[in-house]
Amino acid sequence: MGNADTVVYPDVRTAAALSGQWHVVVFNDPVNLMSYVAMVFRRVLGFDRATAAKHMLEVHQNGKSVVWTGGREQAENYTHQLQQWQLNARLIRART
Amino acid sequence: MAIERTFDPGTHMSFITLQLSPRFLAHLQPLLETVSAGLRIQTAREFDAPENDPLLAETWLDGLLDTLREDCGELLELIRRGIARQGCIKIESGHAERVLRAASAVRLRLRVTRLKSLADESLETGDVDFNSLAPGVREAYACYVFLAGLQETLIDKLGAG
Repeated sequence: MGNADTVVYPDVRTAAALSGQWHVVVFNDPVNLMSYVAMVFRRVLGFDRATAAKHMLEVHQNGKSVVWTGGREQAENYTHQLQQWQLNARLIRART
Repeated sequence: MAIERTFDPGTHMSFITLQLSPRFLAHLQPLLETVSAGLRIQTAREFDAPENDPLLAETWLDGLLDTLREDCGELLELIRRGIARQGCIKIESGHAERVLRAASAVRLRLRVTRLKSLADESLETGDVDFNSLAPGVREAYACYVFLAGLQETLIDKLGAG
């Protein structure tokens, strides 16, 4: 809802484009500290220490880690937050 | 670097206090200001909005830049206050996140600009012959290492790691 001065842009993306499961994937980078990455996972995704460490090590050793899978809107939210924390995060459609 | 975590019962705020060399901070300040100025208009790395949608991309990027500007502003203000207070930097716990993100952004930007002559492995392991670096690279590397140390300290003191 908006007042007369508010412009509301409708989400014109098709339902098909937004449907299904989406992965939030974090890719390795040579700059961010391992402790920093683990901390960000805890802060943004609510992981406990062990889970954050597990995903951090996956990023470090495998080059990437799928940190969350679910609906498009929440996946966008998490991806944006992780990027705000300067992690190399991307949104990728999960294979059905 | 002397580090202390304190709690102010009057304001119910907790602080992390670091005592650094004011001369070092003064030396760091121009470089941080230059890098931060660049980060006001461009993100530290190239981020792709989720899909090829110009409106979403603009909103996505605006959100990232807004946060980046506030975060870098916090880091710069911290350094300025530290210089004014003879090297004493006091970070309120609630603001530590901004400093952590800003430090990451500055380090990313330094990596792809002033430190691009150094190998990833050298930067990760610290196996760098500091004295053999060109003056501009030396300054950037000192800043890069300092910010990493600052991040480690904050993460440790916040119990957030």
